[in-house]
Amino acid sequence: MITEIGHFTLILAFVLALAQAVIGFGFWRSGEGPARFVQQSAILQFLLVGLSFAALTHAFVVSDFSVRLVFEHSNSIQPMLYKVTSVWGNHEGSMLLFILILVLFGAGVAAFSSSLPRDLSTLVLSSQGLMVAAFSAFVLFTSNPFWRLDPAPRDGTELNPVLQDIGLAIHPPLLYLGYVGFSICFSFAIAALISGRIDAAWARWVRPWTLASWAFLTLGISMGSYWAYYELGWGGWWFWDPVENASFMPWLAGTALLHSAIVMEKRNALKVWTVFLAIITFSLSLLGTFLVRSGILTSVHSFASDPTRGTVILAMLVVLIGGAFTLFAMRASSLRQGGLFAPVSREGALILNNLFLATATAGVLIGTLYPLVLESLTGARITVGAPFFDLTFGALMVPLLLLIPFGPFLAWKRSDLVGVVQRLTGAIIAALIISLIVFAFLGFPVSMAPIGLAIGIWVMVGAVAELIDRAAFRKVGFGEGMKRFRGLPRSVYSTAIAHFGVGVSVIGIVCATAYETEIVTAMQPGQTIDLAGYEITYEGEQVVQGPNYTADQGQFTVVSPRGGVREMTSERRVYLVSRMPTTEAGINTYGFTQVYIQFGERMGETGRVVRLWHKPYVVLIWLGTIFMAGAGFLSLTDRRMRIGAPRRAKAKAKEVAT
Amino acid sequence: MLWIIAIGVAIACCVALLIAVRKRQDHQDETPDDAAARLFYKSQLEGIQEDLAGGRISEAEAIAAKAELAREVMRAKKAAPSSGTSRIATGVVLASLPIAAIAAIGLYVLIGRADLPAQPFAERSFAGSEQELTLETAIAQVEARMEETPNDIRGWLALAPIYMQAGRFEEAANAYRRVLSLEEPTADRETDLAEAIIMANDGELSAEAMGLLQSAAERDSQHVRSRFYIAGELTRIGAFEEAVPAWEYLLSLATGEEPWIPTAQSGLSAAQAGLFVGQLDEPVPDATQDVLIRGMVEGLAARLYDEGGSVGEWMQLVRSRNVLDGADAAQDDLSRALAEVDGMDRIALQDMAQELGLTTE
Repeated sequence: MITEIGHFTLILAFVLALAQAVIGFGFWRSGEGPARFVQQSAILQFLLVGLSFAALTHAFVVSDFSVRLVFEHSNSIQPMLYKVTSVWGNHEGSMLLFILILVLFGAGVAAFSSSLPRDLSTLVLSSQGLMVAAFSAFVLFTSNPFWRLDPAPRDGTELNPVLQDIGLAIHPPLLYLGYVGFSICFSFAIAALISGRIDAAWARWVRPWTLASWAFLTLGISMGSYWAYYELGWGGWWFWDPVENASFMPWLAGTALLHSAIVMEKRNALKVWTVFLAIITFSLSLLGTFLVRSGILTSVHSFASDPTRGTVILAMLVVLIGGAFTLFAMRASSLRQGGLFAPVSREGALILNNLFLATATAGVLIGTLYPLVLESLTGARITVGAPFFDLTFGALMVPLLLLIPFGPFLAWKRSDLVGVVQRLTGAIIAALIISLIVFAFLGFPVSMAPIGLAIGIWVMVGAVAELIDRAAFRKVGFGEGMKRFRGLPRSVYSTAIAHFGVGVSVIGIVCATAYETEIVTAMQPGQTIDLAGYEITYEGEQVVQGPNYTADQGQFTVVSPRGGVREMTSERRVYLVSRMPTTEAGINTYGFTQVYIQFGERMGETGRVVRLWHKPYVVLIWLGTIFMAGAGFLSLTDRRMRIGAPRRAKAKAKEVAT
Repeated sequence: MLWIIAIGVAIACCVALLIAVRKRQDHQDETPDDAAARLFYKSQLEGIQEDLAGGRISEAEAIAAKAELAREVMRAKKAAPSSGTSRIATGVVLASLPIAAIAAIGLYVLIGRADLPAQPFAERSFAGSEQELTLETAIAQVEARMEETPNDIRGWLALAPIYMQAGRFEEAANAYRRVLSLEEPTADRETDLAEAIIMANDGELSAEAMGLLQSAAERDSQHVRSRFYIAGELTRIGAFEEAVPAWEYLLSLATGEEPWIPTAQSGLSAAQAGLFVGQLDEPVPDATQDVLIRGMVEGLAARLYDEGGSVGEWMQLVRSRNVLDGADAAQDDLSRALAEVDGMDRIALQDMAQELGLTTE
């Protein structure tokens, strides 16, 4: 019965969302009543979908195989943790999670709507209602998680074994928090276009949603990357796989949105562009979700294999994205243009940032969609691989990274490039010296890689330099400087920390790519091999019994160059129900460096093919993303919006004052 | 019970919405919009003052910022919307409540399964048999019956596949032997027995099994399964001259829909490749043939280097090169191949390199 109640509450939520969209869009100018209706309806939907999600989770927990989804993705011996994560480890359940987060954010807007202009909040909630209605209709009519089986099967099948992992249990919710968060920005953009009003309050509201979504998306992508790294056993951390690109494109566009929203917030400029980016970012999130969810990415043909699902997806993309762009084309010109600024200014630098990020997004989009389009038109199957992305994306990122430290040093409205370069001289010299020390200390060979490292260090040093410059130690002395340093607004700190994090990731990427050592060899028990100074001994193997799998576990002893001795295991598992083999790589972390062992096939009587990687500083890749996401959350705590004061105005004001 | 809860939830939602819509405004003199704007701009002003007090901006900058804020306030005032609810809107909102509730219940009647009770795993009793029906108990039951009626063909035919599934291949072979002794042999039965013997032998094809397969193939000129085993075995033992026509004949039996076609095609190409490499191993009497083969390999190399290709083609190239030109030339091709592919393909290449004694550094 609980399952059926969950089914009913989802239907009720769908109907209310539909009513919310119709009444909201129809009567947003007609006063209090409709406004209150959409607010209350948004909150009710959260309760209803919450109930629905809880009911589905309950069905998984008690293994009710009369629910088809439970039968298809869980079984009675699956560990409880994975029974729960199975709820969203499949198409139908993950769409329900998507809706849950959508209504959670909608309820958030409704709850705080008293501090928002009424017409704006009503339009935002109407747009959210439309999305909830569209998604819940999609779920109810084409991918219903509450579909029942009669008679109920005896036992279930299994959650895909590679998904039976704690990393993948939290990856989708994080990713969805990011994707769906951008839906709020999207709705704000729609509201702005319809009402024709974009003011400071608009920017103030969009900022926290952008920040939070971006931070969640950053964590989600990073988590997914680490999961692929240790679970798939290829030793790689990013494959330019279409599924990865699908989450990376909204991140790139979201990063651009984050920066252009700053201009809008501080200077009331770049409004139309910010609205455009808000639409683009969420459109890419939608595109990403559906490319992955519809199975189009693995093959164009699976799209056709379920015509209803495919058609509904297409219709939703057309209505939501197409509608938004049509609205944009019709209304954008009526939006009030913002303040003017000179090319060399903080605004100018942020536009440059947007230009690079937007181009990079387009590059990734083309690389991801081109094979799909080609296949559907000509039937030819091609893959666009890492070389394309490394070249296009890398070439765009190098100048962007070089320019990052300049941005925060530039003044709003108009600035003096020579002055900024002077103030950054210290940072340039510091970056060069640190780079040289790092090269000498680590003894890296001369190649392109040190340049990459130097860029990473430059970004990091530049971030620190901004903080030091703002504290103005030279002008006010050390004591006063420290006071000012501590008193800097949190948004300034978050800018510096996020940029620092970019530098950290860049260094991780360069080191792990350029200086990794890979050995593939057959090892006999007792045999020792040298991997970049680490003595690795293969001790032998044993069979281990897991709760729902058996595994051949290889045991290794690793002696690090410093003499530390550590045990290490690497497994090949076979899951009992699906008979699916997976690998569990062995990973030992030394500082930021990792030794990675993949236990391969049998070779002869007792031998095994073993793949060993030494990945120097690879942890920095993910550490950098934690810096970035952390900076996003830190900036969120700085709730106050600041108006950026232009420089020339200062001089004028002085004249008036004297 | 379900219906009471469902209708209760629907009514509760309608009431909650109704209360919200009918709630009276607290500040009659000021619309919520004004209040929101006032609060917002007040916090902005406080922010500027705070920055000024903390020395983060200069006095002149503060004045400029305040001026900017004042302009913003004036613009916002101009754009403020009217307040008060129109009659039509109220009517639509009120009418929507019962419509929504009825629509939700109606939709649920259409797609829900109110008649199906929940069946949590722990509470289910698998009625019908007290004893759990496992493979072992099923086998024991049938075996007991066969002791009484050892000449029951249907019994043996039921038992044999169960033995196969349970991994008891010797007993499966015995069961099929019984079947063959009790009725006229058919191609299918002979192949079944051969299959059981092969499995019992850890996949080795014994002379007995091969004899059975050949007999099956002769018995039925259209029999696929036996021919599949024969062609596979011929390929495995390196009798490529016989394997190639065997695979070709097998493929000629296909109508185009069979799921085994790709396997047979790869078997054929493996046999052809074996034939091709096998010829290389022997001294080539005819110089023109050497030129021909070399031309083919170079052609493949040129295409792969120019346009890239599948990992299978790269492997073919590296293997051929290893035979034709030795390890050094193969090593060059391998390095290029490794640069072209990634992921699982790369690992497949590395495995092959391991086997050929090439390095993957």
